[in-house]
Amino acid sequence: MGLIEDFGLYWELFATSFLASVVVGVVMPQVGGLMYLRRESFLGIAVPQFAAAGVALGLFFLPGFPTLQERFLDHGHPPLDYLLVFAAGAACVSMLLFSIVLKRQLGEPGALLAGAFATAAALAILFLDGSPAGNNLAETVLRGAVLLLDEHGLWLLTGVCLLTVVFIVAARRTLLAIAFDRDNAIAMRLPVAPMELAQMLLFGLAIGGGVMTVGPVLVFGLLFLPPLAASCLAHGLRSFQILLSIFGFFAVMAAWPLSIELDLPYGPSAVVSATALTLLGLGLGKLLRRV
Amino acid sequence: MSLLTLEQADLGYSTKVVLKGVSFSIAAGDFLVLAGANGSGKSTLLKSLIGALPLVSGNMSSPPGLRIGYVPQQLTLPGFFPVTVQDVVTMGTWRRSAGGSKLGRPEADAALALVGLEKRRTQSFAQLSGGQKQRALLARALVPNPQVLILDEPISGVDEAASKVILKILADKASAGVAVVMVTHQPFALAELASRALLVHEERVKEIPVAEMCGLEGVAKLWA
Repeated sequence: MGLIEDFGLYWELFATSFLASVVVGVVMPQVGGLMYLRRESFLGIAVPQFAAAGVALGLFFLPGFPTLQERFLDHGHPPLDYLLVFAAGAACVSMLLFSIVLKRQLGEPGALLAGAFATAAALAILFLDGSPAGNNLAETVLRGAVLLLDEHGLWLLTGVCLLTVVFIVAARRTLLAIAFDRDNAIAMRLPVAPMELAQMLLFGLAIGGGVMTVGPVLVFGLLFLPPLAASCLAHGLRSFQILLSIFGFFAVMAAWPLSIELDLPYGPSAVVSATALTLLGLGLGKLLRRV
Repeated sequence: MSLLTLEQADLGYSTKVVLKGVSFSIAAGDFLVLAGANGSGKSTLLKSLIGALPLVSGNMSSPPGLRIGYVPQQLTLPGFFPVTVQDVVTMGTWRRSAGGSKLGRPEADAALALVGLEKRRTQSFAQLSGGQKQRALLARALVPNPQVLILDEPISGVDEAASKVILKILADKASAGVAVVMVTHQPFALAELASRALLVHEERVKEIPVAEMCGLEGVAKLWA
């Protein structure tokens, strides 16, 4: 049976996860692109991991909310609204802490980041271990089993991503001006501090929502592989931002046949296809520069 | 008319005061040269003037809606930023001009033409030479018709031809009433242009005669 027939046959099963993959494929690279331009890509290593620890923390505290836990046990789906608070909260708090720690130069940034990553990974495992529901969900939520996403999860993810995109589009100029030359943005009397705060909160929300619904691996990959490829091929800011979503979209689309035909987990498959596209972009960029 | 006034200001960071008791004002048409040894606090002073560093103590006053054009050291900008010359200069339009009217392509084009980069508008900023980058950054600062131009070593690492273009534009702007504040390691190049000189030395900012700053005596003092 052909791939398209497979896909058509199981459309009802795939529909939610397919749409979720398109949403994260288009939106996460925009978030990562701005972090890349702000020279904050390193945050992409640690922040999703902290969001994952936030999810684990939420599961750890779930028995303290009997109604939610009952609903979870009845339906088998994680209480996403509840977990989003923890995931996005952890992502925002970690971004805030990183910005303070790095501004005050409390240590070598690479070492601080590696330490934070290790801490977040350890916390995630410990909270999951201490949570009755955690071990089951570790295999699904944190590994990014996008196929298990329900319609409510899709709506949540779409809402969070839509909010982020609206913000990026509305504040595009200010965000780019700050990313390129923060001091000049201040001299131009642009609203730098409120914009940075809004960006941190919304990006925390988007990363938290992404980690919770499609898993940290896919979020990691989509945040920073498309910007790497796009920056090699883009000629100007507009084309960079358009290429980000094009790369993200094709990465998530290319992963579907890979995942279905070879029966591989979707999240890692999408990251592998994003890597292949990035290498292609890097090569093409180098070739174009020679020409 | 005084555009920017610092009164008994301590400048630096909450944990460390870099410059103490700084008092001076900048008036329309001033061409102020700022010099000092590496690490003396010149950049701290510039960042305080543009508002990027809050004062530790003291006062800074300026007329409401003062338009400041800022030209950073080109080396502080990211090399990988996928931005064209046109993109960089257009960033100068991302605020309203004096009369509240919106700035746009014509203002950006005029600034590009003034610095002589109109033929390079579609070129990648990263691929420009040091002098061309400084000219593009100067064009960005000129777009909103600033009342004060603050420049951090705009002629450092720049070839002589580009340096001449930059200094000519700055001299014309000062003649037209724009206050120019410029950090430089080459004060001798500004002997003909500067109207005032500030020396940043041992946590203090001191106004000295231009001839002293821009002459050989001043240069020797800077590196002492």
